[in-house]
Amino acid sequence: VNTPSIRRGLLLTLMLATTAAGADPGPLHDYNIEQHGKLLKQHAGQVVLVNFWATWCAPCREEMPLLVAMEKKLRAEGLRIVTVSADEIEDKAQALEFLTAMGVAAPVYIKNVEDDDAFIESIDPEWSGALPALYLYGRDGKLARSWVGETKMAELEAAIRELL
Amino acid sequence: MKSLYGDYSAKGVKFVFINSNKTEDGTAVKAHAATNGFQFAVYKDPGNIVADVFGAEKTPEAYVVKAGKIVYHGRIDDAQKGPIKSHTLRDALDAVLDGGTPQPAETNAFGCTIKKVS
Repeated sequence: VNTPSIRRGLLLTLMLATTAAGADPGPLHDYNIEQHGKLLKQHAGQVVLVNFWATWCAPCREEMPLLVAMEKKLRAEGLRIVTVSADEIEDKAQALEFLTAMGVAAPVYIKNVEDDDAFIESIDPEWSGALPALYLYGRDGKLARSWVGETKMAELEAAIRELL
Repeated sequence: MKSLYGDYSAKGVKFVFINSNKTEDGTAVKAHAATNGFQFAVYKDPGNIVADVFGAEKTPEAYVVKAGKIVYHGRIDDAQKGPIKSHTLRDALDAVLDGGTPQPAETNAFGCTIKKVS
């Protein structure tokens, strides 16, 4: 038995499996009001879609693979999707496990704030906190559009392409 | 919900619990109520008509109505499952029972969108 060969084969299989599963989300960073402003500055020049979601929100979980596919399709053209979990910080591991299984690309965040109400208000005064919520920012960092609840992917893609 | 109902029914507050999710039928709602030992009725809102009248968009979402007027709209409390720091709905009910007005009258919280008929 050629052990190194088997090892190489296993390694290759593992690498292929990892690629098929999608990107590595990396660590789940804390997110707060200040971080939202910083994030938009960090991604200046790119079209950014911020996805607020939670593990306990069934439509959020259903939407996630569609968003992963959307970013894969449009990443080369300048789209970045940033996910922010609204789970309690105690459920960080559970949130990261889901993001990893979905193959969500980094960066990934989890809200860590004292006051959810103030956080929601800072993102959008018109937002009630209903999930899933999508906020689309143009290359200039300005909010272009937002969606709450089930979103038609064709409509979302058209809006993103207008900004790319 | 159970403790709110227990504490405030005794003070004269009438509760109406409504499920407007299209993905949960009457059987599922009944089973959930039985599993959780609810001592109150949970109404099914087929076609999310009641949710639309109130403008409700997520669960849970509470409305306190006094003399036909909404005096509070928003969250039950500030915890998804951890320790509660702010008993917002209790404070609103206490204010109304004391003859006052809830402050704040409107609050936000994270919640799952009501799955509505299109």
